[in-house]
Amino acid sequence: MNPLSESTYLVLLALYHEPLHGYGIIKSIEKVSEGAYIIAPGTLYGVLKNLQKQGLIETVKEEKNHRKKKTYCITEQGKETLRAEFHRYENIIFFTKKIMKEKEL
Amino acid sequence: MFKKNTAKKKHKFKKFTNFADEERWLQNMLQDGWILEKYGYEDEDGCTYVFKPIENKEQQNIIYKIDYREFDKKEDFLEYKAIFEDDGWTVLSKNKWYSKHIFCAESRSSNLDIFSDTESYKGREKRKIHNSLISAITGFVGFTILTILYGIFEKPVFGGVGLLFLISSLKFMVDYFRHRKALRSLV
Repeated sequence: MNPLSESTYLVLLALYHEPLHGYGIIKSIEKVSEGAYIIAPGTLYGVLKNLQKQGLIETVKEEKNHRKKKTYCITEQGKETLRAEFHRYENIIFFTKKIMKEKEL
Repeated sequence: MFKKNTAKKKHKFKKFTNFADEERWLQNMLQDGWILEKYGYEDEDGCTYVFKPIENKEQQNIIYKIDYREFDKKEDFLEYKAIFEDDGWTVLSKNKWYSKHIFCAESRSSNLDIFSDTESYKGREKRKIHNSLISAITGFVGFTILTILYGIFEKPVFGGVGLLFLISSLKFMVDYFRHRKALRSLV
């Protein structure tokens, strides 16, 4: 399995928290990262299409929703992918710290 | 002060084989006092751009960006459009039949963009490359069929139409190679 792009990871993370519509995802990531990560709309749309194609997210069917905006939610497979990626990052951080500490001593 | 144009509208028919060049051209038109009002569908010869004079100073800060994407369903295009509009962009492509989408937004900072990673820029080139190749192949198949028909029936009309197919195919090939070059330049 290929590592997820940073934008893909962040979109999955935002949806792990709660279902959101397109722009809501951008805002959620911006808020959580305290403005450090702002996903641009063209990038977001591409990421959403890719994630949908891979079955990692899906749109929520809402009969009463008259707005044109779709609401997205993460699938079980999406959650697993996100957790696997998180562990990969943890691993990288773990041995990075080990090496950096060795250097300091 | 900004330049005020007295003419009402300006129509331009132009072809670009590079998105960055096209964006720069739109910015230059703006510097000359012309704001893009609308543009038509694009084919191998280019597309028509309709400009109107800028009306206020703020419009001088407009930034243009271009995406390339095809839509099957109307609702997909509307969803795409909604995401950009929520983020403060004006979408100049009118419906799902457009594959080149021009966006504009007023911004104090020139860093404003529709993409936030290199992957997205690569995606834009890849979609354009794919479609240019399909069109070039289609054109070449048309040329081949008409050449065969010309050989059998010896009617000049087959030869003439065949030649048009070949020219169209070659134009799409130019697009294909130019965008492949742009893709390679993205690291």
